[in-house]
Amino acid sequence: MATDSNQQDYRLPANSFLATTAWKVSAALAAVGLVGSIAGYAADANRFGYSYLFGFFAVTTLMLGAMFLVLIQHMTAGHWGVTSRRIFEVFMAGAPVIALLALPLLAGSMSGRFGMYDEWRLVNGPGNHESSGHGEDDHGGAAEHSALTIGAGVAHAQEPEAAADEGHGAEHGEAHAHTPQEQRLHHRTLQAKSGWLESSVWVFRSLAYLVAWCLIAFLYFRWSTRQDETKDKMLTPKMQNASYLSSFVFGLTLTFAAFDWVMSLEPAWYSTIFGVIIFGGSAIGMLAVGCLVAIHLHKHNLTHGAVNGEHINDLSRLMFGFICFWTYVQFSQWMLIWYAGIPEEATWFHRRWQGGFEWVTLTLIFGHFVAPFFLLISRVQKRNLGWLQKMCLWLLVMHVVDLYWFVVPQAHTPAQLDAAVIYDLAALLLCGGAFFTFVLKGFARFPLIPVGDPRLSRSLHHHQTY
Amino acid sequence: MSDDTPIYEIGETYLLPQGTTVHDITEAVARVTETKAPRGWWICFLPSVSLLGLMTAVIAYLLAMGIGVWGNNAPAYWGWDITNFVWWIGIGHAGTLISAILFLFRQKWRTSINRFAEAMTVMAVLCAAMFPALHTGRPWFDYYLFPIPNQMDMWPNFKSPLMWDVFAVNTYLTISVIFWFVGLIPDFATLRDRSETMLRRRIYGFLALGWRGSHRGWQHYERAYLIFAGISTPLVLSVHSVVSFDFATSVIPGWHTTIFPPYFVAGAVFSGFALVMTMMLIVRAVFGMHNLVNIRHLDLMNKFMLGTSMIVGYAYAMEFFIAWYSGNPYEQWVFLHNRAGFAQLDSLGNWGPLWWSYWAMISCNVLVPQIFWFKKCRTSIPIMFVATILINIGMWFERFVIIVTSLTQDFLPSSWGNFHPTFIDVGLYLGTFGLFLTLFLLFVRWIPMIAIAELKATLPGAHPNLHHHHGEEHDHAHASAEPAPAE
Repeated sequence: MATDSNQQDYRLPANSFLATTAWKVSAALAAVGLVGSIAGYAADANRFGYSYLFGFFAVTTLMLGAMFLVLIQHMTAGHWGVTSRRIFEVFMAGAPVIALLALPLLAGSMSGRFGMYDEWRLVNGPGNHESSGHGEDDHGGAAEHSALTIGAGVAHAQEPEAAADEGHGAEHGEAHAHTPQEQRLHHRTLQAKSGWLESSVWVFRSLAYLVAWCLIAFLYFRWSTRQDETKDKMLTPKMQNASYLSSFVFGLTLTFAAFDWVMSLEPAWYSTIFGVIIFGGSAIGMLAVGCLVAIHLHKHNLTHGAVNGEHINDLSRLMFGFICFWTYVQFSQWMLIWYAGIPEEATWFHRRWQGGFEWVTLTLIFGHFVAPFFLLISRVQKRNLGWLQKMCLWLLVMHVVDLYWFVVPQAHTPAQLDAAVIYDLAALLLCGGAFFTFVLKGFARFPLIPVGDPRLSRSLHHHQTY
Repeated sequence: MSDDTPIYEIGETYLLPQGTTVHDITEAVARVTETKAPRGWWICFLPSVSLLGLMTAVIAYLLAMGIGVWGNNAPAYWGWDITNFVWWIGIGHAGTLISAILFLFRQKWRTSINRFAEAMTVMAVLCAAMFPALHTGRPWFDYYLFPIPNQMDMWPNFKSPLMWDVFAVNTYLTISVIFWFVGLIPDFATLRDRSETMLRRRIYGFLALGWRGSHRGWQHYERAYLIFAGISTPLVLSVHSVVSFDFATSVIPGWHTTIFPPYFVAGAVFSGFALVMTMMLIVRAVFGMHNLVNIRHLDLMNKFMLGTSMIVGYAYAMEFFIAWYSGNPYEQWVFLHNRAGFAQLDSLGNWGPLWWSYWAMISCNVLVPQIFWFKKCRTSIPIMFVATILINIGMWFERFVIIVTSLTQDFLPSSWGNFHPTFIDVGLYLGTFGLFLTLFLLFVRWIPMIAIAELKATLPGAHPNLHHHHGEEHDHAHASAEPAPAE
């Protein structure tokens, strides 16, 4: 429990669970995940690519959620979140781990061992698509072109079934099921953007996102921890001023990372709201984790009330708001695509409504929105920390399911409990374990609240009037 | 230490100039309704009423002739009518955002502008409602829009987003009016208690609903306020989302895109803030409200506009990027030719005919607000006055671009066309300004334009020393909360 020195500097007592055991549990899980991942990679590297992307991206969104919460706190200069800000800062500081975890993904898809981006990688090469010279004789009008593209889209939508019937779902030769005409048009659509999706350009962009995140995380973490020691008030306006440009960079990198890593799994598909949805989910995931940490700190009196029920309640309200926001943007995307019923767009949802994924979709609707909405709407529910803890755990699981829903249906495997799903889990454990090990060590190294923030005393006395 | 003592070193200040008393606030706001209107008010009011007269005349002509007098044609079935509808509805959003969302986020600076903006919401929605009501051609049958049981068994099409609009806008208007009125009750009571004539006392007394300022009254009031804020918050999002569905559920290139709902909401808040700012700068000058709405508030509003401008810019960029990324030739045609103009020429080598409207939109909505990165621009009244007007021009063009560039050149070149507004289009749009400004000026003159009670609650003296009750449990925390800047 708390020691005298802890009262002075808000550091984690050396004998607390967070300081001693938590990171070891996390590291052990990562080790288990590593073993599972190696097995998964050996069994089917192609399919494992999806597993790894899922695990990696689920953890990345947590880091991005944390970065958003840090930036928005500085931007709005509010005081209620000062004491809980350190939690998010520590998670944000896990950005270098994310960069490391990205390397296998980039290497795997560059080397062609992970096949998930092959469809557009091979569009200009001798892949399972026809050769690029094929479409040259077709100089038809735009109308003809697009009508046939739509045809290709319809055929595209039927692929998973066809692939499943043939019993080789993990293969990427889906274009085999198309007529030559459809193939050619699908090919031409992809060829038009092959420059954007081309491997080296894609890797370069990916690295740029990772560098940007590491830089923002590094600067903000350093400024904040330096303020712990120097108590320099002027760091606060500095962080606020930097937050505007940082959030601009953050918004663009998050969006394009979502486009490049996840949306491009279905290379002919597109949705302008895609980045916003990933952003909304990220915030929920991180707020759930943040509430869990804050509740732990509060319950074990590790911050002596510096992070108390008032702050946790505000965090949970923000989380509730983001549950509604996530639903709003997810619904917008689905409803508009469903209503218009354009085949090349509908194919994406088609994949998520067959082969068992309809249950994942339904789980998201009820588990990520309906249930949490009614189980967290009341102040009484949010103020009951035991209840909130359970709900946050649930929402964290739902956030992972959300990312699973984004990534894995693209692997053309049915969503059933077979080896592939175990490997999905293994990749999640590997990435999550590695990230949390680093983060949890961070909690032991730095004060649990930003003790140098000039608004700290206001935050310590934060009381909700409404 | 008071909870809200500003930390000057990091740029915090009191919201109102130091030394402002509760009496000053009451005086400044209530005086407007009690004294003769200043000359400036009349200078604004007379042209406004003239424009209102123009609107009446134009509507009379429109009803007599039918909506053929508008520029709408085939294929531009929608023109200025829906553009103006969306623009006006958007204007209203700032009020709801300020009164509800900023309230929930405890942004105390909102108290100087919320009443004002809420009133603008109500008036803007009324102006907006004119357009769909008139564009049915036979407004006397507009009750058909509502699902009223009738002997012909005729029902509106519930699957149509236009139908959802009817519900969304009516709900929005209802809630906005009630919320506005609930907030006004204590201030009406203040006016009643200051009244010197029986008539004023009767009228304001009626409006104050028997408010006595009792502890219990305040408790109910604050609870009601919170509930209304909670109800209004999803309305800020839902109304303009439903408006965006009018376009996005179709398959028209340039309309059917998934980012439309949040993009429309952000644009609405953006333009709403800009008009609130324009109007506030005028009223502030006419009635001398410089202390209550000071440069600090304007600075914050400008930051807010910069933020929403960036969100709108993000949406423009996404639309443009995805139009290219989709590989869909129709999307590309709309964005590269019809909108950007030069990026894809037609077979004769011409730019898209409405390229200038797209670039007017980009310049006003994305480029102009970038000046607000600089504090000098955020705190210069002439600059922000011009900028907010440009933003509203840009936001009008945004709707015009979306509607007209998509409709005039869609899938089939043989059915392409163009759109030219008529004098009636222009007259009706200007006329709605007459309606808006007239209502607004009457509001300013007779209703407390700043929320007296709420603004008083931001004064330093209004804060009981909260921490005293809880100080003990944090005493040890205090020791390390160095420096305690405001002790």
